[in-house]
Amino acid sequence: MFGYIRPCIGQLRVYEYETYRAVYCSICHTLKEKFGALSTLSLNYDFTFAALLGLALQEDFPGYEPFTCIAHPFHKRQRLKMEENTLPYVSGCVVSMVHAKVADNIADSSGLKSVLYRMTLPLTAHAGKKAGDCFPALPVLCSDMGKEQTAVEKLPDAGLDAAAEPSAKALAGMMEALSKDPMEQRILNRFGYLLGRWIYLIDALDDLEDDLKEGGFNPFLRKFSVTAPLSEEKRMEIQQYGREMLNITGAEMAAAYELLELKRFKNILDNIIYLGMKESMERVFTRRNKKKKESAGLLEEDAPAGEP
Amino acid sequence: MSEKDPYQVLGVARDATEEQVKAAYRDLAKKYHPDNYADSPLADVANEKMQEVNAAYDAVLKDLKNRKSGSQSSYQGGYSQNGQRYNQGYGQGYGQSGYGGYGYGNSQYGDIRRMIQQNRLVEAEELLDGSPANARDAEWHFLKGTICYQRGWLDDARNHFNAACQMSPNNPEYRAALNRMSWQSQGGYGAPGTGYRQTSYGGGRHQMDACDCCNTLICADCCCECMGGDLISCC
Repeated sequence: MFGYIRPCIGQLRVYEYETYRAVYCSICHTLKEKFGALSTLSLNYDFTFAALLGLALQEDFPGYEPFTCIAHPFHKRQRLKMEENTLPYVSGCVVSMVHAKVADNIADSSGLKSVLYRMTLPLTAHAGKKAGDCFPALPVLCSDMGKEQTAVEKLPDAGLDAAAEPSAKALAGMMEALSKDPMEQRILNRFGYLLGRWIYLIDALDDLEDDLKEGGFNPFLRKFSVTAPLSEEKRMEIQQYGREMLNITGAEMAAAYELLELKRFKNILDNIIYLGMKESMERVFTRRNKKKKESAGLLEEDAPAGEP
Repeated sequence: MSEKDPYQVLGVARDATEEQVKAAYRDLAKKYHPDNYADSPLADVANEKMQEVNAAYDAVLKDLKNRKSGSQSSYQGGYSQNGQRYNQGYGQGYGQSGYGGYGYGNSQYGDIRRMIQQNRLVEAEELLDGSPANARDAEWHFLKGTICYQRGWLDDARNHFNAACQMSPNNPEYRAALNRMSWQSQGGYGAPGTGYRQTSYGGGRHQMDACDCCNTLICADCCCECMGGDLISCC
């Protein structure tokens, strides 16, 4: 469910692109420092966005420093100097979310897959627990999300809104903590809710085929009462509806976003909200076969998120 | 709220010209336009922003006048005819456009409207859900839609606004709510007609390209043909 919130690279200025990359590298670095080298595997673009937003809202900015990445030993890279607010918190969010996801996958799958997930569980659990020690609210948010999701999938009349609610609420809680100002927290809560909802919906649209094949829960399949195989006509109908829902959610999200007082990074964040998210939608809607995912990561020679 | 630098609020440099200041103000006023935040739980925040921007605009214009005349005392008069606010309606529309003054119909709905306004969504919804299914009219659907909207349940919200408009096609309030959602569903931001975020950025898919040019010509040709003329003779 990760990787939909990313910038439209072609529209970034070079220095903005480098800033984006520096923040990406900083989260990777913070993950390694706080939660162990393995946790860097869970790095992803969505939380890079969260970090950018958190850094944009805070008064002080740590500045940059050069470093050498183990994955690319011959290039000097820039990253942010260590700071004690946004980066550790966002890293905590990353590992908590990934842990929740693995636990959720165990419940969902059976056979060999379940065994594989079970093997990764102790690794994510370790990092997840550490994150919980630093930020006690995170494991609560994530386990609530898992429980509510399971419950809502059992309801026979759960619509799109109800199905998206658990993810939306979890993100609302996480984003809210990026600020200490009560007014900003209200905005961030609304923003996070809609962001979580948007991610949930686009992920569901992206997974139509897989869910149909494997019998997984998908709110769109249920709403349009689809039975295999998915006809071209039905797919277009679902995509049209999904596109409208994503657009409405995105517009409402942008309205909340515009009320935030950003101290830096405005162009990059604007790019993600207004261009990057639209691009992600196009990517999902034009992708015929999910397996043929573009293998190249966003940050050219960088490994795509999740790969060493 | 602490005093903010008016130049910073408008996002202009200290040596900005009057045109630049006005343009910056116009953009901000479009962004925080009450229509963009109608039915939103953040309407009050947007309103506060708008007032901040208005105050900053007045302060900066005053400052500009000062600089022009070079004296400290002359700014008292004068600036107001030049410095007219972009639209006096901004920042005043909140609260009035939506919930104020609706005395007609069931008085129970008046209470529910008030509750929604005070952000007592759970209570309001309980009251609404308590009314029997056959007594649910356009107003009921509109209010239910508003509650869904505030909660972020945008699919249900659209369905209820739709139902409200079907039952009562001439009500401008219901129509505005539905129009805003259809505008957004087509990829628009804010409310239709506020001009918010149409000119800025210019990137993405909105640039004029060769295809647009052909499309425009073909459209023009079709229009001409409708009226009996022809623009492109071969089609």
